[in-house]
Amino acid sequence: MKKIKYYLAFTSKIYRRNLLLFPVLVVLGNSAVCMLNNRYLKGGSMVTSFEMEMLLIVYLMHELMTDTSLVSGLAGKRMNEFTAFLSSPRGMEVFRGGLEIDLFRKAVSLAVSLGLIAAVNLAFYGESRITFFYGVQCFTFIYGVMTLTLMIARLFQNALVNILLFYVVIFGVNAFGTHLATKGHASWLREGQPFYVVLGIVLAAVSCVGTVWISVRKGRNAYYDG
Amino acid sequence: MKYTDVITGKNIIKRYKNFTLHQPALHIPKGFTTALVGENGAGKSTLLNILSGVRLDYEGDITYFDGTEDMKDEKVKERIGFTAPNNYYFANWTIEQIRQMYGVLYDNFHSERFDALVQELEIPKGNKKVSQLSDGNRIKLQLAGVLARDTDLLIMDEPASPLDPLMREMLCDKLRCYIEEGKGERSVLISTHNIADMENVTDYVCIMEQGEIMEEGFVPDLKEKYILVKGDAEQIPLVEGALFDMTKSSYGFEGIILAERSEDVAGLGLTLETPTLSQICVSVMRNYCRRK
Repeated sequence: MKKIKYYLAFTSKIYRRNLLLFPVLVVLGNSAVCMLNNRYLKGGSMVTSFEMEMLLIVYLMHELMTDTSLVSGLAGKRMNEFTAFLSSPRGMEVFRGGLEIDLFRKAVSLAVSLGLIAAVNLAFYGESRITFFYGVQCFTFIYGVMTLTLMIARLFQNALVNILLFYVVIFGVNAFGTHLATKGHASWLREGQPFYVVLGIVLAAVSCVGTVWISVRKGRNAYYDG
Repeated sequence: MKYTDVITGKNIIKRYKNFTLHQPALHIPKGFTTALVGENGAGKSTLLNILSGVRLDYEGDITYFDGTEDMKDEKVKERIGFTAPNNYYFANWTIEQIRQMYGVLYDNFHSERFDALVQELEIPKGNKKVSQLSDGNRIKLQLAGVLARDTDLLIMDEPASPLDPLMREMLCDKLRCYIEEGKGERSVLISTHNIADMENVTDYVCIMEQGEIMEEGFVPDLKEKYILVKGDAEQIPLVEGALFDMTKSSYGFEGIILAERSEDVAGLGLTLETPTLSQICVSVMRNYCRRK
C-alpha cells in the first residue's frame, strides 16, 4: 500500500490517464480495423498475429515515450531535477517504490489490453481466437521485450535515443521472426510456443530487477557525482 | 554572546578539478539566521549541498543540533528543510503533485499549511507544471514546501535572487517568523551573493572566498570590528596604509578600517560611520582578492 501511495504521488493524473487510456484506445481501434478487414477484405488467420504485433509496437513506443516524462530526473549524469528526492530521508525509498509499482502497472495495462482484444474477438467471431496459452505467450514475450528495452533506455534517458531504440528493437524482433520463419522455426506470434513464454519470463525478470537497480543506482550516485 | 551550534563541522574538504572547498572549522549558531555570503563560485552552494545531505562526497565530520546527530542517521533530514535554486523538482510535476510528494517524502508535512502558503505566496494554482513556472514562483513553491513542514533548520541556497523586492521582503518576514516561533530552537542558514537583500534578517554572517570562510561573526560584532571611513582626495596618502579596503574617486575616498587601527587615522578630520553589512562583506571579499 505504501508503494502504491508513492507511485500515486510520483506520477501525475495526466500521466496515469494517458497510460491507461491511450494504449487501450489504440489497441481497440486496431482490433476494430482488423475485424472490418477480416469481414470485407478477407484478412484470414493473419489478423490475430497482426493484432499482437501491433500490441508490441504500440506498447513499446508508448512506454518508451512516456518513460522520459516519468523519470525525467534520470536524464543526464548529475540526475538533474532530483534534489527533492536527495534531500528527503526516504527519497530513494519513494523513488524505488514508484518505479516498482510502475512496472506492475505496465503488466496490468498490457494484460487488460490483451483481455480487451480477446473480448473483441469473442464478440466478433463468437469465439475468441486468442486462447489462454496464446495470451500468456504473447503477454510474457511483449512484457519481456518492453522491460528490457526500458532498462536499456534508462541508461541514456534521452527522447531521441528512445526513438532510435524503439526502431532497433522493432526491427530486431521482426528480423529475428523472419529469420526463424525462413529456417522453418516458429516466431513468437505462432500459437503454442512455450520457448517464448520462458524467454519472456527470463527477460522480464532480469530487466525488471535491472531497470529498478539501474535507476536507483543512478539516484544514489547523484549524492557522489562531480 | 553564548550560543550552541546547530551545525558543527570539522575539516570539511570537497575537491573538484580546479577548485577545493576547505573549511577547517565550521560553527553555525543555533537560534539565529546565518547568511553565507560570497561571490559566484566561492563554494557556497557546494557547502550548503554538503550540509543539507544532498552531497556526500566530501571529507570531514559534520554534526547537527548540538552535535547530537549526523547524516548517517537519515532522520536528521526530517528536521532540515532545504531549498536549491535549480532543478529541485521534476519539470513535469504539477503543484498538486508536489503537495502529494512532500506528503510521502516527509512525516512532518502539513498539506493544509502548504495550501495556505501557496495562496499567501500567490503561486499560480491548478495543474501548472514546474517547467511552466517562473524562477521566482519555483523558489516560492520550495519555500511553501519547507515551511509546511515542522523543521528545526532551514538551509536555503540563494532564495532571494529570483524574487522581486516585495517577495524578498515577504521571505524575510517568513524567516523572522520561523525563528521567532522556534523560541531559540530553530535556525536558518541562507546563502546569497548580495547581502543587501537579506541584511535586515541576518544575525550571523560567514563571508566565503575561494572555498573557505574568511570572516564570520554576529552582525553587531562585525559592525564594531569594522569602521566606515570617508574623507577628501588629499587625505588619501595619509590613510591609505591603515585602511583595510578603500574605493577612491576624484572627490575623495570611502574605506573600511579595522576598529583596532582607528587610532591611526584619529585627528585627521575624517568622517567615521558604522558600515552596513554589505559594505563589510564587499571589503572583506575585495581585501582577500587583493591579497591573493
